[in-house]
Amino acid sequence: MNRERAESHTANVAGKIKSLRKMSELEVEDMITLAEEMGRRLSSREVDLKRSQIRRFLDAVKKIEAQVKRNPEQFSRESLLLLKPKLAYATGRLREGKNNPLGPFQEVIDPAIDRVKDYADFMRFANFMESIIAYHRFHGGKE
Amino acid sequence: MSQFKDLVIGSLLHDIGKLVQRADPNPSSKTHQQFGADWLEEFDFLKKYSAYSLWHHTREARQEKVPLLMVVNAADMLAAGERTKHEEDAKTSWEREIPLLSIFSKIRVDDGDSDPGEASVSSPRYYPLKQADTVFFPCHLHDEIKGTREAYAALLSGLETDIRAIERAFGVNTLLVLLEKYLSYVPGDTRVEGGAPERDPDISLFDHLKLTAAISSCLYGYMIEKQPDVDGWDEEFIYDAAEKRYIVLDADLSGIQPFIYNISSKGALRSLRARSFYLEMVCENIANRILHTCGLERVNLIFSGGGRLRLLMPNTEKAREAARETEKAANAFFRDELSGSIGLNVAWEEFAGLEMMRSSEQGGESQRSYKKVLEDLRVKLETRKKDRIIDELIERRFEMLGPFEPGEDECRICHCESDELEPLREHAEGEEPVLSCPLCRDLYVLGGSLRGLERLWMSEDEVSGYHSLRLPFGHLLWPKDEEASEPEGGWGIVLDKRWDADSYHSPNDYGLSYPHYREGEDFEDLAEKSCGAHWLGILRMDVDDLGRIFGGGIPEQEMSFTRISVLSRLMNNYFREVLPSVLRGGAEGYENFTVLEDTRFPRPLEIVYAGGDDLFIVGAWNHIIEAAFDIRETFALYTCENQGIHISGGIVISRHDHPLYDLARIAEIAENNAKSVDRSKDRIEIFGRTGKWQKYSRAVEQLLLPFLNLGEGKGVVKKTENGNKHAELALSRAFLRNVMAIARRYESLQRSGESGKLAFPYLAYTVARARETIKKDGHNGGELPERWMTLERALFDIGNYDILYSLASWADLLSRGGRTDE
Ligand SMILES: [Zn+2]
Repeated sequence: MNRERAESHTANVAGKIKSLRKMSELEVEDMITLAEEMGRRLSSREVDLKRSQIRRFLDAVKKIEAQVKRNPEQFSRESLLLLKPKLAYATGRLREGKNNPLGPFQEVIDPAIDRVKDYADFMRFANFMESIIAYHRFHGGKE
Repeated sequence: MSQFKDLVIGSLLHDIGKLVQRADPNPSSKTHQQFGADWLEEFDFLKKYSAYSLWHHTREARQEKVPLLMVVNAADMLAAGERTKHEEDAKTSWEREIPLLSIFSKIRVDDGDSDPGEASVSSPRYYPLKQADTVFFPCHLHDEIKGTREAYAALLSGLETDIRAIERAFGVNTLLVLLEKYLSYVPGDTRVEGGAPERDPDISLFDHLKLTAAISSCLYGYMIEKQPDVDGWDEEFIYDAAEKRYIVLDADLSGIQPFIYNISSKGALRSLRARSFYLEMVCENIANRILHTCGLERVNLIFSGGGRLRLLMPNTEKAREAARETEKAANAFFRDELSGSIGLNVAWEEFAGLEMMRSSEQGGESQRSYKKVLEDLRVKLETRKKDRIIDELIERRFEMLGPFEPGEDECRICHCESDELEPLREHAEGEEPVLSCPLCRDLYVLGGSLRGLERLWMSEDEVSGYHSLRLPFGHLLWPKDEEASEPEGGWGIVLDKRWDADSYHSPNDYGLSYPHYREGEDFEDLAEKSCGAHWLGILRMDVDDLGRIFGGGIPEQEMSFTRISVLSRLMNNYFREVLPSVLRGGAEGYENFTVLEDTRFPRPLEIVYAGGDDLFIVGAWNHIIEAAFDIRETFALYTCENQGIHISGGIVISRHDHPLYDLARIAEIAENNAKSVDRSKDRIEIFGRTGKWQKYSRAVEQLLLPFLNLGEGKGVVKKTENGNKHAELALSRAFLRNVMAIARRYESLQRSGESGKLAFPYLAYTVARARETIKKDGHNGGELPERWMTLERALFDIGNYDILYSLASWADLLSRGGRTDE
């Protein structure tokens, strides 16, 4: 897959996310399709994202999930919103030369975070994130 | 011998000339009547029956005006389902080659989906010309299927040898065994009609002869009551087919299930087997008693199995009285001896000769078909059952048949109250004795002697020194295999060696096909022979839509008494004869279903019951599953892969010490689940997951085998130090457990209204990790094996998710260390 087409795929996924009002509007079937597309893209030779590079974000999401699963009514967006600057910082650090492996990830995750309004949105977001990482590995993504 | 017995034997032999003719190098030199008569003349003790062969056809019998010969002629026409029989047999030799068509080829069951008139069978199947003591399946027509002179000659010479061997014990019953042995696959009728071959014959010569004899004996019984002077019977009287001269009688035992399964697990397998066998014998006894009371022979027994029996009887007061009286006496026995847990229900329907025949021959006359006769009978039997239950309720306290907690003075096995409790068997010091009632003790002894049991006696007298079991009507059952002093006036029942002429000692002896099979001493024993986890499997299966098969399966224009009788005999035959061979691994033309290398036969399991249209089997759990597939496949072969005939089943897998009644109940639920998913049935439930057989076998290829072995071949079995066997897994147990978790997650998501696909990312992750392991292990030089790719595709196929858990559990249990507590 050439770089341009790959980029347009990311844009496509980001576009889909942006077209939603809330993350919970994302149907499971679509979510799986988008996550697989992302996973394939991120693991591709052109992007070559390592799992260790996003592990921290997944861990953070898992942590929130563990907290709110016990008390869904106590869910608040604040902790999740904190991820955005963290992600921006990490992406900035990696921006060397043409290749930025976190770029496409940030491009999709940022608008997804914006669409988390309540607990249901968060759970779908968490699924989406986990799914991307699962498919990243499925398609040969490195540790 | 009495006039009546002569008539029955004459009827049984009337068409024997067909076999002789087809075995002859010059078949057109004589008629089959002449061939038969000449052959019978060769035996001193058969000479007197030659007239039945010579004159059984219309013209001669009527010309000679011998009443008994006319009776056979009239019966012959009714058995053949025709109003007028063709005058002559064709004398060309080619017709000898026409083989017997399987009647299952003809069955067309309308399942509501297929086009009316569409055949349920893609092409007809035929039987090879063989003796009935070998198990084989009907197959497509090819050269070897055709009836050669040599094949006929071999059958004839076998029959001649056996006839000589039973001369000493010659009678209706023994003759019947020989005819079944040699004529079951001989086509009854291979004549030519109007220069063109008639449709392929589907009635064997054995069935034709037996049913002709049954009808003859009814005609005789009916007419002799009306007109005791046989010489006064004229042609008009004998050939009257409009009078209701016949009774078809159905009897059925209710309460079988609690009687068999409500036993505790102490000595359970032996007791279970014995109880099931005992019920078979009770059924036999009821049939023998009714027939004996009204002077009939076993040719009148149309069908027996599964606690049910059907008789064809003359419509006489004597016969009706015998039926009424037998029902009463049997129920009195059950009340006194078995605390009323079993009940006998008897009903009958009167009908006329015309109602036995094909409807196309009836020229617009308004009359019932035989199918309708049976429908009316079924309604009567249902009503009878209800009435009888209400009678019982009023008459005596109603005992719930549910499982009991054993109490102080209760038999520890069947939970009946008894003052004669004694230990069931010798017990070791410090071991708790199993206190049981006399019947349970007797049945326990019987259970132990069933292995290799060749002969039983059913008699009215006790013989001292022998252990006997009480049956209804004051009869006794002697399961001992002793040569000495057989009681007079009973029946000798030949079990294991029923095809050997030498096994028959008296004219009353008869052979009984009983699904004889013996592997374990007890449940624990069977469970220990499992691969992997030492668990027990329970399988229940029965034929789907039996009513539709019998009610509408035979084309209307061919519906006849004979065809329905043949169909029920053949259906029963699968469960009695074919099934045990399949489980032993010895069915010709069939390779047993196995998922492991080196599966040993016979399978470690026990047929608790098989007959009629259903079965109940217990055994080593992995063999139980495989056996279910064997049964489905061989039943399909047996029934010509007819799309309208199928079988469904349920399997329960459990620890061996779980209460049996509960396992029987859960297995029944599983079976019902398999039957109720949609109208198509044809399903199996395993591990609580129901699927079509075909889907399951595909999943075995695509999922189970790859779980066990990513290379070629089947699962590899390893023996541990303590001798236990378990299958190796192709990948880690963690992988398998993850697949099980994913399958469960999928199911629960779907149940809660979410998409089960939410489980797929986890699957992707699990698959990715497994791939890495395979590559690291250097299988296939780093390439992923083909079987792995198949597995991946199957895992991502949502079509598999209703049974995926089941397949993974199967692999998981196979690979366990062999401890029951896992
Ligand atoms: Zn008892």
